[in-house]
Amino acid sequence: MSQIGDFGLPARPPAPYAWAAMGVSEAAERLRHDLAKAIRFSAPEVPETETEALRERLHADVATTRRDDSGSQSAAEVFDAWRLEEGRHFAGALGRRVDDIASAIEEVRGLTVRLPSLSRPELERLDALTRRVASECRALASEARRDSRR
Amino acid sequence: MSARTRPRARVLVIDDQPRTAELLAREAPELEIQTVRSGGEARAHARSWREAAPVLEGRRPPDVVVLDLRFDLPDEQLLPDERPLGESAAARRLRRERRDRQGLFILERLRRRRPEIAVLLTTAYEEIPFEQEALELKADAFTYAAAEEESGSGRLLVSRLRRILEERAAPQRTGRFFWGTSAAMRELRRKVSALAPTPMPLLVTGPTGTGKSLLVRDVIHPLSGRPGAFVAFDCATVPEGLLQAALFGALRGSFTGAVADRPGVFEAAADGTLFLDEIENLAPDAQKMLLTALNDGTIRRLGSAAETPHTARVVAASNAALAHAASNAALTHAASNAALGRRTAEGSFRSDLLMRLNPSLALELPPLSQRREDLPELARLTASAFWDNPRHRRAIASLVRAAGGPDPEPADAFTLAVSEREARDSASAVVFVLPGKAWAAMQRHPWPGNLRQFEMILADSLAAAVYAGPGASLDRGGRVRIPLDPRMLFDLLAGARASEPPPSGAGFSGFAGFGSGSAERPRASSVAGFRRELERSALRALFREAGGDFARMAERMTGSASAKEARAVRLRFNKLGLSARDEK
Repeated sequence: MSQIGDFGLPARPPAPYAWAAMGVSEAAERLRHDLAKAIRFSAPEVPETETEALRERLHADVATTRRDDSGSQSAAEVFDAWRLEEGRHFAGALGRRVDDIASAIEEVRGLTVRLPSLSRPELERLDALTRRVASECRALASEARRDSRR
Repeated sequence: MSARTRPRARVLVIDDQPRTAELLAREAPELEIQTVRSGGEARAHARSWREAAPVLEGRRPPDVVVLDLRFDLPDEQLLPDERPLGESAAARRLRRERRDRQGLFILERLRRRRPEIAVLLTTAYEEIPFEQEALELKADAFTYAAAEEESGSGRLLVSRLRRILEERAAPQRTGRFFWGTSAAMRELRRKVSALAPTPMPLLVTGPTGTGKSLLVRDVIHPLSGRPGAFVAFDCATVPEGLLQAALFGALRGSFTGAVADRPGVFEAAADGTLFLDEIENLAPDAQKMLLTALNDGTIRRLGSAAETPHTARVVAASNAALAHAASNAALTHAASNAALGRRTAEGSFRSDLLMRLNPSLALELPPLSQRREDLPELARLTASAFWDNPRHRRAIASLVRAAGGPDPEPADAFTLAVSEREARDSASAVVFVLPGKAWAAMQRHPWPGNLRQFEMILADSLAAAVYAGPGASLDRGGRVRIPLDPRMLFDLLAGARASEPPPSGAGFSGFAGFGSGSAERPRASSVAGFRRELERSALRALFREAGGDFARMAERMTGSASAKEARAVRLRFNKLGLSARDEK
């Protein structure tokens, strides 16, 4: 087993990862990390009772999902960037799962633009969508990993 | 290693995203989120090892590091001394693989420099595909964002972080028993809290010097809430013929010299705790009597026909070898386990008695070599105990006066510095200075005698410095320095190594005979061949000693019986042309 630098860590993940399918599994894991983790990062178990607190949290989770020195990306932008780079890996059942995420993201995109003026029911709808996106991303990663082990 | 307390727990966030630090600042205002400076900018999170290192190595290191597993930075930026990978297909693939585990590379560096700092590893995975590496690098806890269906991963992180800090803030000693903060000891602490108040018999396992009897006397018995006494009984010290009387009592005239009725330790520990130390040394007849006492809850004095109920709670202690047998017994039951089967065949220990002692719930004390992150705190507490001794304090006071310093009075007015830098930075009036090289040697030492040996060697070194050292001196900061002699420490460590006992268990003798003309000494036509034959012989001997159990072989070779180590031993065994079937 090859080693990286002087760290003594194996360069390859342990079996039973199948090399041919690593691209799909890795890409799905990346989506889980970049989007599923971030889109409900500060969410409580039940939505905030105070509307402005809910709006503020959704702003952090959905409108500024990832940030670095060059600026921030919304959840929709994170997904777009991922799909552009990794979308080609997904076909069949996994492709349909990506399409489901995309359709939820489209609704998220529309609501995010109007976030400052959303009504309480619309904010709750957006919160439910974040839950759905996170859940779909997790399911995608699990299925992709299962496929890669076959 | 100063004894002063910290007002707020410090947390360093290493993450390429700022949201974890922001969330902690908002949700956990009781914490101090450490500021990182980079390129003239201050931020609440370090984005790379380069940014984290100055904080970790600074004067105010964090109590806990919250570390992301996956970063989006190129390796060259994340770990600046890494060579760039280039743009070949292989390099691209390697870069992609690394991206999933970059946090582990940071953790590895962190562990090398600051082994005592707690680390909370955060990940979006349902499980960590590299969990084995993470555990080997001693990550304290994980948060799995993906495991959270309903609430945000950030909230889970906050609760895990608070739990780590609570555990770290708990007293390091209960009575004389030292806990430390290593993962194994924190797990043990949780287990003890759950099991101590129950009436069930317990088994405490661990190598010599790990504090088994202190755990029972100072922790388990007080936590049990039982009003009776704590009674310790060493099964190795009583002659076989007197065991029954010692354990269960005797009637007058039941044996020569029994001039009056006398109670046994079971009765002495009524409504209390009976601690049976070194239970593996209990004679077979006594084992049977003990089994009856545990099964039926009754005892019978020697010479009496009447059985009387007993109310003692039994806690037994044993060395690691029995622990292994016990844990396997719990999983596979006695007869099918090779190690226990051999013991049973030898009649050395009853499997049904082991089962009665709840081996699956055994409280296992790890050897000191597997909890090196606890060494700094153990050293500080050992120095504190030395300092608290009135006789030593008087001797230190006279040294301090001779050096021109003020009388050391407050309890926290000393520091045990393990480097010149720590000595310079100390705010204490008195500083014991342990040279960095000596401390490094102590950290590397295998410590076969475990905590007892560590404490003894450090206390001996402190005593030598105070009573027979070159004396104390006043430094520029007005502190009184008392240097520890590194040569003496090296001598003590060398002596400890020379007296290291053979591996636990049935006396593995794989190498023992080679130097004395043993018939097992291998022969070969080359040095490489000799080396190979030597290894084959050693592995064969170990295989026999371990009853063909690769996990036990791994445990004796590396101290770990993990599946990974067992697999590595099996692979090596086969690679050397050995066959388990042939050897059995």
